Amino acid sequence: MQSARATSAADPMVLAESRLRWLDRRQTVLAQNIANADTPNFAPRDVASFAAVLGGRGVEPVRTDPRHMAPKGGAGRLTTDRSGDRSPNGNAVSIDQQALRVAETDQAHALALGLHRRMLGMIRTALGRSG
Amino acid sequence: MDLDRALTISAAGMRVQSSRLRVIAENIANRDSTGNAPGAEPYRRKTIAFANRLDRALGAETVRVSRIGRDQGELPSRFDPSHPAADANGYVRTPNVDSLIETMDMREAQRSYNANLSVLDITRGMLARAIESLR
Repeated sequence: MQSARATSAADPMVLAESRLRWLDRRQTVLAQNIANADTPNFAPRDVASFAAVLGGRGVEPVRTDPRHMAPKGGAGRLTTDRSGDRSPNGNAVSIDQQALRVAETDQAHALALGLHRRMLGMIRTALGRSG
Repeated sequence: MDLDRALTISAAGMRVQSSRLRVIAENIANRDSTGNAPGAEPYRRKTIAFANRLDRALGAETVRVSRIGRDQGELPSRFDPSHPAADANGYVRTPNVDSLIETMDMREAQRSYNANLSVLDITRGMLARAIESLR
């Protein structure tokens, strides 16, 4: 029973933690896009959506050795967005679009962290401690 | 941790934009630097290019200055027979710096610098919030 609780993806704590990990990663990728806003031939990247990352957890091969390849669709997968307009030097980064995504990531981070804190508070209350 | 990487990446972005501003300042400062002997080459406009390279210590790609080159474009000439650099026909070759281009470039550099700074600020806020949750 206890081990099931620790690994279930539906557990709010686990969910908040994986969401935070995904948001951290996304912020890094967005920072990279903005830093390369003037690099020739650079196309902006984004991480695979959080829903896809969660959905990919259905059936996963067991990794019994650290040298095994990580399953596809994990948190590490990046997508390249080539749909936007390109400037004459081949750069396809739109700073306003990236800034919007950064703001989105910031808000989602506040929400996920809030959920995490609230859950911790509930556990503390259940243990009979204040705060 | 990924947020630390995001901070370093944004800082690298700001660094290359300030190198770009330095090159622009050099170009504007030298827009009247001609040679001092007949037929001598005047100042040629400097150009800067960026590239995204893997930083092994950080484990992520950061943006860097890939090359600072010289603009090999045509040099305009001006008729000024009394100038020390004037050729036999009385023409002096002047630098190929166009202040309008440099000004536009400067605006763009400033805009990119600000964008990197905002990302840095937001990332810092996210880190501060995460640290706050430990209390």
